[in-house]
Amino acid sequence: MFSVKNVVKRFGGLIAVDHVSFEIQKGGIFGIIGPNGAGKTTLFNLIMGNLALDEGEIRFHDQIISGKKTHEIAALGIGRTFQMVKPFGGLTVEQNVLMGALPKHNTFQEARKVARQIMDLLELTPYQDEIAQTLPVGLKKKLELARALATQPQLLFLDEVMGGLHPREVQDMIEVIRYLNREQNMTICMIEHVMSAVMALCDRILVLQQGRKLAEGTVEEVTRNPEVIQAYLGGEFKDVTLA
Amino acid sequence: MMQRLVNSKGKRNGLVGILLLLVLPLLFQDQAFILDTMILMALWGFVACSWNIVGGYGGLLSLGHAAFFGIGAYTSTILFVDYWVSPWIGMIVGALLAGLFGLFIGIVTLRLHGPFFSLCTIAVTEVLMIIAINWQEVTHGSAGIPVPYRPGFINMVFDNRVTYFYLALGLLAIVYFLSLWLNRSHFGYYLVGLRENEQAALALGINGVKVRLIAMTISSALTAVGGTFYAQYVGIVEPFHEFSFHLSAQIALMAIIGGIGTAGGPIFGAILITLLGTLLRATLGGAHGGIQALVYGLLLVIVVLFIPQGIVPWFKQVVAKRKKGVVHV
Amino acid sequence: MDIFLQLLISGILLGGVYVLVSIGLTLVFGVMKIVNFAHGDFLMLGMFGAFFLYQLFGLNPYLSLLIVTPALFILGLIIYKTIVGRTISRPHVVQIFSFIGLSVAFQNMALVLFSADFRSINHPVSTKVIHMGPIHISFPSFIAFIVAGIITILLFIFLYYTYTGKAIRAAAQDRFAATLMGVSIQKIYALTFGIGIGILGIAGSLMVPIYSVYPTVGEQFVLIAFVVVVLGGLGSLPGAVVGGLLIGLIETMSSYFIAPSMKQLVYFCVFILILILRPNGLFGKEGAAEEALE
Repeated sequence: MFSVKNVVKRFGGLIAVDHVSFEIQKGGIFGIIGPNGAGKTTLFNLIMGNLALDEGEIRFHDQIISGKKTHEIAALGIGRTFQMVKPFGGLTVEQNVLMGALPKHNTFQEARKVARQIMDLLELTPYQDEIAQTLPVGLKKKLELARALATQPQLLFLDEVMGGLHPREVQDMIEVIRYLNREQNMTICMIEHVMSAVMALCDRILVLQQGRKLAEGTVEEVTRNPEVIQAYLGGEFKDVTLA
Repeated sequence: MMQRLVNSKGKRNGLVGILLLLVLPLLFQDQAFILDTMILMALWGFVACSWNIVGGYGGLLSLGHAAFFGIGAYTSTILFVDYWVSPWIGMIVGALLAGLFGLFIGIVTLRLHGPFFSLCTIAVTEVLMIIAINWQEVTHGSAGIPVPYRPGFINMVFDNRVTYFYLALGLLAIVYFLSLWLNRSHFGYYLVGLRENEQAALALGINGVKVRLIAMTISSALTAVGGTFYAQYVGIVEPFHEFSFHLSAQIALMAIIGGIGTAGGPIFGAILITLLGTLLRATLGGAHGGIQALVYGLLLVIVVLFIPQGIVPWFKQVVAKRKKGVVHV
Repeated sequence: MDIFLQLLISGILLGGVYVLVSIGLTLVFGVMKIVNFAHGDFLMLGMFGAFFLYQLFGLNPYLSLLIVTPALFILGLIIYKTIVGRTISRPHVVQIFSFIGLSVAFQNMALVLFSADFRSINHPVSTKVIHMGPIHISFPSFIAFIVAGIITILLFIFLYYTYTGKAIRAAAQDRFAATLMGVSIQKIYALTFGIGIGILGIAGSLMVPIYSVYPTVGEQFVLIAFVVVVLGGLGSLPGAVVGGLLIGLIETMSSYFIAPSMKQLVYFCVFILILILRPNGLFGKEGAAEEALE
C-alpha cells in the first residue's frame, strides 16, 4: 500500500536519511524505532512533503507522492501527528478537531459529527471548550491524535504519541490505536520510544540508526537481531565512538 | 435550543441596530460635524474590517494596507479627472487593480512570516509613495489631485452628507457579513488554522498557499474600495497621506484595539478611535492635533500589552465571567 | 574618475552614519528576537536632545553626546521595564504593535511639544568642508564616520571580550541554555535594549549638524535601518556594518547616476528583493528569519 524506496536526504554534508527502503502493508501497524538523531522524524517530514528528498521515491497505492505538496499528500488520505505537538493554540479543543474534519466534509454539520465521535473515542469531550494551549501535555498529545484522526486517513503516521504520557495513559493510547487498526481498518506507522507499546502493537518494525536501515522484520526477528541488541543494549556508547 | 435563543436575540438586536443606524443620520442632517464623524466611523470600520481578513483572521500583520487604499483612491480619481470615467467604474477598476497587486504581494511574500512580512509590506507601500510622487504625468506628483465638485450620482459626489453615510454604511454591512461568514465557513476556519499553526494546518490537507492568496486578494480589493470612497468624500488624493505608513498603522491599530479576528472588533475599534479623535480635536482645538494620536498610540500599547485579544472579546469575557459568578452565588 | 572617487567617499561616510543608526536595531533583534519598530523615534528623541542642548545652552553637539547618550540609555531601560520586557515570547501582534503604538506616541508627543517645524543648528561645524585635492569632504560627516567606527569597534570589544558582553552573546544564541548557566535573561535583555537605544543618542548628536530635526524624522531613518539590517542579516553585527556602508554607497551612487528623488526607490527595491530572495540577509545565519517565528 505504501512504499519508500532508496530515499536519501542530505543536510549540507550530513546524511540524515541514507538509502532507506521499506513497505507498509495494508491493515498493518508498522513501527519505526531507533536512537535520537536516527532520522525518524526527518523520514516523516520527507513522507509528508515538509522536506524535499534528494533521491529515491515514495509511493502511496500506485501513486508517486514524493514531490507533491504537504496538503496534497494529506488530502490523499495520509494523516500525521507531530512529535512536538502543534495545536491551534488559541482555538478550543472542539475547533481543533473540527479543523481536521473540515477538508473532507462539505458541511459543518457532517464535520462536527465526525469531530464529536473522535472526541468521544479519545475521551476529549469533557474538555471540548477548553483553549488548546492551556491543556496539559497528555491532553495535548491526545488532541494531536484526535485532529489527525478527524481527517479520516487510510494511513496514519504517529510520531511519538506515547512520549510524556503516564503508564496508565500509555495503556489507553495502546487500546485506542489497536481499536483504530482493527475496527476502523486504519493502517498505522508509528515512531515510538516506548518499547512496551511497540511490542504490544507493531507487526513489523524498522530499526534506523544514523539515517540507515539497521534491521527490519517482525518483533521477534528484530529483537533477536544481534546488531539491534548491540545498538540498543549497552552498544550505544560504542556506537557513538564509531561514528 | 440555547443556540437558537441566542441567535434570535442577536438577530433582533442586529435589526434594531440597523434601523437605528438608518434613522440616525436624518436626526443630524444639519449637523455636519456629527455626520462627518459618523461617516468616517463607518468608512474606517469598513477598512479596518478589510484589513482584519488578512491581519486578524489570517494573522499576517500587514503594515502596508495604505498601498491598497492608495491604489483605490488614485485609480478612481485619475480615471475620473483625466478620462471622465465614473468613479463607480473607477472603484471597481481600483478594486481589481488592488486585488491583483495584493495577489502579487501575497505570492512574493509567501515565505515571510511575522515581522518580516510586516517589513515587506511597509517597503512596498514606500515604493508606491515614491512612484506616486515622481510619476507626475499620471499621478500629478506630490501636490495630489483634487476631485472636482460636481454633485451627481454618476460622479459619486453628493451635496448631502447623508448619502455618503448610507453608502459607507452599505460598504460596512458587506464586509461585516463577510466577516460573519468567515466565522462559520471552511475558508475562515482554514485561514485561522494557518494563523495558529501553519504546518499543522497543511498536514490536515488545507491548501495554505491558496487560502493565503485568496485572503490577500479579497482584503486588498476591499481596502481599495475604501480608498475610492475616501477620495470622493474628502475631495482630494495626496501621496503623503494615501500611501503613508501612518495610514497603514492606523488601519491596523483600529482592528487590534477593537479585537482582531472577530467580526465586530474592528468596527468598534474604528468607532472608538474616530470618536476619540473628534472629541480631542473638539476639546483641545486644531492646534493640538498631535494629542489625539498620542492618546491612541498609548491606547494601542496598553491594549496589546494587557488585553491583546482586543476590547470587544475582552468585554465579552468579563461579562461572561460576571454571569457565571452570579449563577454560582 | 574624480567624481567617482568623490561619490565613493561620500557614500562611505554616509554609510558610517547608517551603521550607527542601524547597529542597535540589529543588536536588539539578535539578542531578543524582536524588531523594534520604534527605533527611529528614539533617534528622533536623541536628535532633539542634542538640538535643544545646543539651542538653549550653546552646547557643542559633539559634547552633548555625553549627556544625550546616557539619557537615552536610561530611557531604553525604562521602556524595557515598562513595555518591551512584557512582550518577550508573546505573539507577533503584541511584539509588533506595542512598538507601533510607542512610535505613534513618541512622534505625536514631539509634535505637541516641539511642533512640526524642521529645525537645524547654526553651528559653524555644520557647513565646514575639508578639501583634499579635488575631493570635498563634509566635516560633520567625517566626524560622524570616525565616531561611528570607534563606537562599532568598542561595541565589538565589549561583546567579545567582557563577561557581560559574552553573556549577551550567550543569551542571543540560546535563551534557555544561558538561563541554565546562571545568566539573568531579564537583566541581559534590559541592558541590551538600553545599549541599543543609547547608541542612538550618539547617532542623534552626530547627526544634528548634518540633518534637520522634526517629529517624524525617525520614520525616514528607521526605514533605512531596516534596509541595512535586513541586507546584512537581522541580528548580525558585521552584517549591519557592511549593510550600512553598502546602502550609503547605493544611495550616493543612485542619486548621482539615476536621480536624487530615486535613491529611496533603489534601496527599497533592494530591500524587498533581499526579503523575498534571501530573508536571512547576506551575513545572517541560516534560519534567523524562521527563528523569529517561534
